[in-house]
Amino acid sequence: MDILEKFQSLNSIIKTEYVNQTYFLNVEIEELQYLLYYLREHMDYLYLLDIFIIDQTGGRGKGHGHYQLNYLIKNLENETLVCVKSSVTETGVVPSCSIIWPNSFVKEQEAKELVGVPFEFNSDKKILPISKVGYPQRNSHVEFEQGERKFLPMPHVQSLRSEESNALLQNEILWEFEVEEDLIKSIEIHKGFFHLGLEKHFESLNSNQVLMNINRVNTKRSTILETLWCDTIERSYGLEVPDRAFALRMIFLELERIKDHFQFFECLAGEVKFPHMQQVFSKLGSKIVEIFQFYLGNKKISPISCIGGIRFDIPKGWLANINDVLEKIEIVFNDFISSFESSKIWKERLNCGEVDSKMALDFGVTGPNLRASGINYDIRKNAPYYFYSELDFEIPVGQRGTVLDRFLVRAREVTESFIIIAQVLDNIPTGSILHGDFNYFRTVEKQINFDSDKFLKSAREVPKIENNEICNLLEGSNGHQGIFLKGNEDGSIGRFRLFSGDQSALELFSNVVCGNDCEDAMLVYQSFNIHMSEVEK
Amino acid sequence: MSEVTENNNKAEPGAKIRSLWKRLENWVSDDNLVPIIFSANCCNSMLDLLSDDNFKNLVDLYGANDQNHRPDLLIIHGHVNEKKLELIKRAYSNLIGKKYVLGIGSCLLETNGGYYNAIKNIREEIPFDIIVPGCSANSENIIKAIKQLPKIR
Repeated sequence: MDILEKFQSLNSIIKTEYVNQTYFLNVEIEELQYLLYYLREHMDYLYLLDIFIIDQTGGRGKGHGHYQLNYLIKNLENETLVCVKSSVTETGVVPSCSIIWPNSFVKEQEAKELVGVPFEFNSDKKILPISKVGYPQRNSHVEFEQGERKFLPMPHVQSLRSEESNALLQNEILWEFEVEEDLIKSIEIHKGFFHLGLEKHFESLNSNQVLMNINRVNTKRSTILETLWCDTIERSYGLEVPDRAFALRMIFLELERIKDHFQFFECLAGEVKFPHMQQVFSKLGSKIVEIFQFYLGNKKISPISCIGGIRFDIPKGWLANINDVLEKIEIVFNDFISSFESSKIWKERLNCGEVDSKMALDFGVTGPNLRASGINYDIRKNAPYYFYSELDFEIPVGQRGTVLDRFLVRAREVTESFIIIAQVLDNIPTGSILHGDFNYFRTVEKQINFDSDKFLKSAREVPKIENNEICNLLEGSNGHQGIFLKGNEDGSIGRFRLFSGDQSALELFSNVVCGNDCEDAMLVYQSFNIHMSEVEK
Repeated sequence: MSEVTENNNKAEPGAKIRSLWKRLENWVSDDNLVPIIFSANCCNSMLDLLSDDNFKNLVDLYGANDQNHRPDLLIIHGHVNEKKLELIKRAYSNLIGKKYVLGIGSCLLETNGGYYNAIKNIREEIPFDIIVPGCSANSENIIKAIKQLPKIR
């Protein structure tokens, strides 16, 4: 039986659609809890990606129209994505699904604070520091008074990429422990120091401006965010991107994965007090950054991808350089990892923070954190995009889900990334790097007969957002990076939602750390590689 | 009264040396800033471009009881929201000696970068010495600003 027919046979569903590789199910609010339970228990939709609300009042203010509540869930076996929609009002109480998924509580609380629709088990204690702002995700929310709004013009917006940053944990998060004989009894996490309102900000930009600004969500994982945005727009258009662009995107995604894992090793070594290892991985990370810099020619770097392909072609000497550098890095890296794998002290120190596979699935963690618990799931293998299906690589899986497993899985992933890069570099396709309609993204200097009028005319033709809903997922360095995009009729962005596994990992951390030693708390936190800027945006 | 004046007279030679020492210490510490850094995500990476290992290690000294390494410079880069403001105010009160405050990024200007959760009139809450504008701020301008800081006070 087809999945769509299965959904249609369910009585509680009012309307079923299949758009952009996602099933959209409309359901009454009374039936919502039952349907979600049914999907989880009987159709294996074990995985809750995100909860968010879209304002459909049309800016008419209070008491009019309704809000659309969305649950994004995923089946890991057949790779289908389902968006369960239900209309709610600001006066009626929405039933909570925290009984079904334990990680949904915080997501519901956040949705309530952003839009103002109350859920069943909401507490009065707020997560986000937006008491003076009101409800920012409502259409009636006015960000600026008329005439006050000032944007920097496009040429002055500098884009940036993360350098060898160690300052991961500064001012990010505040914990309060309750301790009993050196063991942690309970933990309360205070967050909200990073919340800026980027999602709302992006809704007022056009697609090119979003591309230039999306790295502000997380500068340390900017390549995946740029690629995700471009990929989403391309999929919604059904655009055929040249193979060469795909191959180059893959190389940079893998390079960023290596860089992010090196940063993880560096932080972990700092926590276990191995200063030598810390220094080595800091230097190895900066070597990877140099490859990026060589490609783009300067230190302050603009995005690599653009809608329709890649901004710049391979510069002279870059291929030789990347081969040399990666070879050297691989030798040093293998030496280090093999010595640590055989070290007893290292193994004993990292033997804490155990997460079993059921817990990892219930909380919705992704990426290396999920694979360390023994679940073999990677979007690159299970639902391959670009040329990942044609490559020969393995997905490392852990056993017990301890800190050591998370370390080893990441170490193996780095070696697999080296293999992927080598395979792609051997078979880089020739041809164009951009789709024909998007050639105006090319830099001005490279055009010999430059026609300024023609350039300006084409530059103003910004790709508009399609008037439908699209959900897209790519595998980043710390699990999936997802985007939900809804277009308006005039081609602007109606709702922009970014989600990743980091928020779920934070929830899981607060559960795992209880019962552990006080000294291990920081180590366990580091082992999830959580970037708070992605949790809060 | 006479005892007090006698004591004062006796202490004079030591006081002179002490005042000289203090002047020397001030002269040294003018160019020896110990920062506390409040970082947002995006501007953070620009500051990292500048920083060498010593600069990073200095950050860890915040909270240390050693009198010689108490911070006197507050670097705020990126946006400040309601929750972060409380921490920043507390950190500002912990600064010793001449207090320097350096802001980096357009979020700290009146336009607050266009984000709803960045406090608009942040300059009324915290006395900034220099704000380096830009989204994100130019690294050369940040170096210039740090060099100019001791000349301002």
